[in-house]
Amino acid sequence: MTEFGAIAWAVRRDLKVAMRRRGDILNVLGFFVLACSMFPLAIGPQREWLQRIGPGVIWVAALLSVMLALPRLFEHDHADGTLDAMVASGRPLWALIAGKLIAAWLVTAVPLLALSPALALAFNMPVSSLPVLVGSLVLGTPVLIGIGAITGALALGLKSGPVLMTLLCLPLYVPVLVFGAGAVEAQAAGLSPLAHLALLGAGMLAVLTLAPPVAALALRISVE
Amino acid sequence: MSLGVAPIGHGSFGGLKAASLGLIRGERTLFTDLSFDLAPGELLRLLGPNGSGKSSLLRALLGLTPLARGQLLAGPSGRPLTPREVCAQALYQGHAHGAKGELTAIENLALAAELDGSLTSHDAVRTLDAALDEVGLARQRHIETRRLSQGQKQRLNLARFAIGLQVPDRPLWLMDEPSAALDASGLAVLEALLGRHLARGGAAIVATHLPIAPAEGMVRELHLDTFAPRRVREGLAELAP
Repeated sequence: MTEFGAIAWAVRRDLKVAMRRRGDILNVLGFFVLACSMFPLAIGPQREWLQRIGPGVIWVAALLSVMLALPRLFEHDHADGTLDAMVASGRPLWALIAGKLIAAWLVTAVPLLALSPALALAFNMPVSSLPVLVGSLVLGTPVLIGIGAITGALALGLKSGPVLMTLLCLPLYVPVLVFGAGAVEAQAAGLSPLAHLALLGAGMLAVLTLAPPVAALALRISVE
Repeated sequence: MSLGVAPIGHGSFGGLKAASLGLIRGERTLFTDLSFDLAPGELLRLLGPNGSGKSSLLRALLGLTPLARGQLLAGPSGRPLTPREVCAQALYQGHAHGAKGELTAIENLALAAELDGSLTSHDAVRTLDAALDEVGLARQRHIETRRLSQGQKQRLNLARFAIGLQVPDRPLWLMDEPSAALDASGLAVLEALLGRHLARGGAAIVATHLPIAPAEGMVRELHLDTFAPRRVREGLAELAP
């Protein structure tokens, strides 16, 4: 099995498991929609206000939805012994983790991406801002998942793991949120969103290369 | 279709040597100065009371738990082995079953065998069916693993080893309590698989409380409590009946 084979194996495996646990996907999606739709109810239906807060609300809701799904990334595998089996297989662990991250992105982030334009319209955001919103989420969600994988691997098996994971994640998520929501706002203000998107893209490339090997190191420590 | 057995060449696997291994878990020293010499065709049966470190030893051989002391060597050359090299040679069944409860028996078996590299793409379905048939799970193949009984889950693990017999790549079997929850016929399957594996030049380290006697190969016993530090040994003696 080559590195590529290991990635493909993990993607296939996690997608198969996710398809048997559709409730988890719906749970994340439901949370995303609910979180977004609570804001207009709470602050009132003024169109200008909604338009103003729309990008920020959608980005925060997407971030929290991803965080909701992340603890499951390694926990189930740890509990049922399949994580040990993966480490003991002698296959490149970073490749297996990369596959798991790809699957996690497909399962948690892609449904959010698909729904975000509809929510943006509900916030009275102009149609012209939709590509920037979706684009910023496409670039930003892999960063959220990659950072979550590293912290999740570090906190795995600890009694206060989820709390620790949240504490470790949040400060690292702040720049993603700032540039993600900033891109959409810049575009709404008539400026170019490219600078924000470029920074998000740089962050994505850094996380794509760093997250699998770093998470692999952390997992080796956690399974001890 | 019955499953074939791929012989293991003498050049590719010469056994495993452990030189004065020591293991510490938390504050406690589980064993010190533990050495053994495992030749092809031999089965090392790990014995010892609960908590004496049988599972930890198996995990330490794979690098899942770090060794405090000692070294693993390839026999008979005596070349030092890294944990990664041991992993690549080993087929490991841990304490947990290592199957996803949401997937069916045959799906779990296919994924595990692919990860082991023992499932060749042609004839994959027939191989899986034959392996499940061999361990007596033919009728459960499309049942979700979480609905299987403990004994059936153990049999599913054995099916993975049955497929492992098809390729020579993983000559070292490491099994943690494979006989737990198995009935008499399940035990017979385990012994038959081990017998075929030892006969083909493989080796196995098995932690089990039941006496297992494969038809072929030599069984040796390793009592872990004899390697426990003195204070722990006294404590273990009190626990013993």
